[in-house]
Amino acid sequence: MDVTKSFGGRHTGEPGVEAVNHVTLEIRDQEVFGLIGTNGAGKSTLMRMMCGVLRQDTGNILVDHEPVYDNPDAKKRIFFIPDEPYFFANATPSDMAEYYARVYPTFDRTRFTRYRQDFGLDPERRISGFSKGMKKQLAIILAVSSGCHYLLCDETFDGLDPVMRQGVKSVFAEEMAERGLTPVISSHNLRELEDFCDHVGLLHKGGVLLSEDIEAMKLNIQKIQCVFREDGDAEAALEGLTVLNHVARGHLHTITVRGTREEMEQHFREYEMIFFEILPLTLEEVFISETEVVGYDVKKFILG
Amino acid sequence: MMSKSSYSVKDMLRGRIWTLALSFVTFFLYDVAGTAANILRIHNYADVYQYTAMQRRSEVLSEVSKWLGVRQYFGWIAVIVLAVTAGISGYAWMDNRQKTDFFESQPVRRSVRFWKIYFSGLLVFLIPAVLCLGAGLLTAAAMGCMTSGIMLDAWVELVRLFILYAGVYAISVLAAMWTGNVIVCAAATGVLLLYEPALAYLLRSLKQQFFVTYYASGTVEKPLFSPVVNYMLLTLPGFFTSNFSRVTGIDADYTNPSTVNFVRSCVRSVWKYDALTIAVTAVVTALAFLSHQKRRSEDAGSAVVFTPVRVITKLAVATLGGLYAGLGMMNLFASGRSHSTLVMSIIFIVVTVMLLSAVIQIIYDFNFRSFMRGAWSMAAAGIAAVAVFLMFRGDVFGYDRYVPADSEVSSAAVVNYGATTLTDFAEDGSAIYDGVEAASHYMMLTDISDITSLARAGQEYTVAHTPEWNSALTTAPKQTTYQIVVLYRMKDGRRIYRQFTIPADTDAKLLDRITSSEEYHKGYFNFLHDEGYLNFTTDGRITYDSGWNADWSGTDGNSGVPDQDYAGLKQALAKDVAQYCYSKDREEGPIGMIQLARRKPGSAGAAESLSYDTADSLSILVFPFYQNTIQWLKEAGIWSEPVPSAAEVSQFTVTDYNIAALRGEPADTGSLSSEAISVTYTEPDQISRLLKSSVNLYAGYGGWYLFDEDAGDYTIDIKTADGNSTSLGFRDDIIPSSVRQDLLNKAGEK
Repeated sequence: MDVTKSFGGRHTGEPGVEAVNHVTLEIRDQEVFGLIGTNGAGKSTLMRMMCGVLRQDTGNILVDHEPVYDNPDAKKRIFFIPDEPYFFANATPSDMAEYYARVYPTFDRTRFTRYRQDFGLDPERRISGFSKGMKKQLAIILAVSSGCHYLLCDETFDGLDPVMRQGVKSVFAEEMAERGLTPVISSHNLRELEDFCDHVGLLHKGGVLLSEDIEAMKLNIQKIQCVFREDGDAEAALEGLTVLNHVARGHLHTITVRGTREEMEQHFREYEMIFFEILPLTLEEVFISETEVVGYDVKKFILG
Repeated sequence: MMSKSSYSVKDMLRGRIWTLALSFVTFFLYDVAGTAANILRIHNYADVYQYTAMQRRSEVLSEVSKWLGVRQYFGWIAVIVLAVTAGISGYAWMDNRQKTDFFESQPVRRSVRFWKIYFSGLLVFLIPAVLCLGAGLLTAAAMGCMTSGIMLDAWVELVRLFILYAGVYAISVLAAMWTGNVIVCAAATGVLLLYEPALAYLLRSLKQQFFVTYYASGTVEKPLFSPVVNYMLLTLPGFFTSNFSRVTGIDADYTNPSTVNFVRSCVRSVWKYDALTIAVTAVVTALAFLSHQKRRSEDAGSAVVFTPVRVITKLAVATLGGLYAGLGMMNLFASGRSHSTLVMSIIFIVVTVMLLSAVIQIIYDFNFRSFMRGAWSMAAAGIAAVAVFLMFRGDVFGYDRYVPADSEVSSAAVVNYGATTLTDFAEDGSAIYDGVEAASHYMMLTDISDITSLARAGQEYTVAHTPEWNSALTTAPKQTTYQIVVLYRMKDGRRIYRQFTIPADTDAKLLDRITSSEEYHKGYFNFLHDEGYLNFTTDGRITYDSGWNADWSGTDGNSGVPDQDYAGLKQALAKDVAQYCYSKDREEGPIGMIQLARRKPGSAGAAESLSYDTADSLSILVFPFYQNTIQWLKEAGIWSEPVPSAAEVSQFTVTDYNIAALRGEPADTGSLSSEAISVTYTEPDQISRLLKSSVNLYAGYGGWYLFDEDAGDYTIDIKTADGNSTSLGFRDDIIPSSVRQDLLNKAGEK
């Protein structure tokens, strides 16, 4: 709640860079929370504060109503997978599992073995010989085996191949169903998370541009393509609507408008149409529409 | 309820596996392999030189003692390296974001992690050191080289090494907390370890350079808080503390196998310093812990984490470096107080401070272009360095003018520093070779007003005769002055030393009052406090030397008389020295020396023929007014006249090395001519007359004997009737006019 964090400037007296600027987010149980933003938007800083690596300058970060920083009881429920996970030098997957079993009292060796076999990771092979994707897989397996309730993944999915992504999704789904795992996944690429998240927070320059349920967002914005019989009807039809975007190419109008499907169908029924269709919106389009309204050209920073 | 995390020291030790391996290898090589190799080496040596069984055993035991015990040569260097390695590597993860994310995100309290890493670092030393020392001692025992003394010595040394390790380790950990980069951390460790010794050395050097009354007094200026210096007191006793070897008795026992008593003596000598290191370790550890708790994870990778540490380090290092540069410039030109050197020194200080500040700032920012950032601290360091330098140069605080109020002083000691020092002995039997130290130990003068009067006069004279261009020299001719050291024992426990020069015409009554007191005699004459010497030596012999008879050294082991009647001699001496005072010493000068040589326990052979490590000698000067003593010597049959009779001398040769001075040519008085002129007298009448003007060389041993300007320019060589040669001197070093004329005539002939 109202979290800030700035870096630099301490030794010079100059103002530091505000990496996180008055951010307030709520992550609900058993939802996949996506954190979107460009490099430098503050995603990693926010994640590192959420898992207790960094201490916020102001505000509170609470896990199940408990502060996180230097609080082992709260941190037992959290597992953080950074963008480049660390493993001990010369360690094997088994070694790391042994270590985490001592650190996390709820570590489940059986679960670790099962997932490791599913992903085809050799337990006795040195991790230093693993590919980047394999290391990420191992980190995810160790994380879910730790018995944590909140799994913070910082750009963990970036670079995973589609098959592995699917595998990881399955793991998450299973863990969410079985014991209520709540994954928080950050990415600089919206398309990575589109099919994955229940709720998305968009960070930009340390602040939250929006934080919404994806389904709610999709349900509340409609993209309509239509051709009016009378050109003059177009202007009249848009009156009273919250239009997010309107593009006319010849007689074809493409309108992005806030409202439910039913409301739109009822509204446009009053006008005589040659063609009328409500199209499905991608998450990307929802984002573009929402952020353009508040003056941001979101395409520049999340659609890599 | 969740079960508790079993995250353990074992997990931390896993991260230290390489340091642990290094520790094991080091201790194995030193304690086990090194011990065995040394024993074999000594046996091999003994075979080649055909040692007796007793010699062989003694040598081997000595070697093992010195290898594993408190006198060990270089094991401690490895311990320091190991401590720094363990300190830096244990917390190096904090400098790496990837590792920081890994460790800090885990459900372990930060303080718990700190302490587990900390204690694992101590185990890195303890486990291998204990196991390998145990193995080393077993190896030595298996090879027949073990005594209770060695066993105790080795374990005591292990404790001392652990104290050293813990101290250096704590400092390295503190450096790790204050820095965010491994290389910077290593540099910071060096700064923290060396700063106080460097500062102590600098202050001593500045005092020596600028204060003419400064006297370096051994342990007084030893760095207090340095674990390395505190450890080195036994290993390198002379490094910072000129007199510590005597305190510990290490000098005396350096070559012997360890004994339980020796180890006890060592422990008694150093326990306070070791306790101080433990206290320093505790304070530094607490500071490191607090720093750890305040440190932020995002500081990983930065050079120095805390702003105050940055500022203080930059100021302190640049100021110290600047002062060293200024001092170096002074020494380079060997003209410490000239104005041009002063200007050069200040320029050098400023340049050095700027350079160091710039380098430090570049390191802080990891950016060459930021070398001028924080220019205010550069300026502050420059001003501080120049100010300190000028404060010493100008003696702003009146060091050379300081004389304490009489009421502040509990007792004092006065030493004629130019006088020959005769070996003294402490209560524990250890030798004291330094006259000032002996006086510090035994001389308790309570008539403070006389001492401060003398000090005031001496300081005024010294400062007045110190030329501006070099504090090390005085304009006063040395032959007409005395070098005095005064020790004030202050009522608040401090000991303050000053040295100065007094002229030969200093108030004789004042000097007589001081030197005729019983307190002065008790502190000045070694035989009046010989209990330590007698208690730690056994039967020996008394010899007497008048400086010209060839039998004096007693190398045959049969000269002199047994020391059974030393008490009688001492009684005679005590009666005689009651008359001793400055005036008598100055007028008459010594005429010979008594030597009491006694064996140290366990040594064999005649005491006076043994080496310094198997026997100790007490030397006592004899003055012409020592009538009771002379009578005792005569009765003992070892008396010898101060100079030979004319009948005993066949040839009397005077050689002058400074004819120019003899001619009264002032230009050459300061240097000896390369041309030496000799005149030889063989006529008995001439020899008899010359002998009446002669004294033996012991005359120069007197504390207050006055040398004429001829001193050092001439020699007298005589040949005795039995064909031996020896040397004499002229009374007061004044060449008789007839001889002077003969020398000039001889020079004129050339």
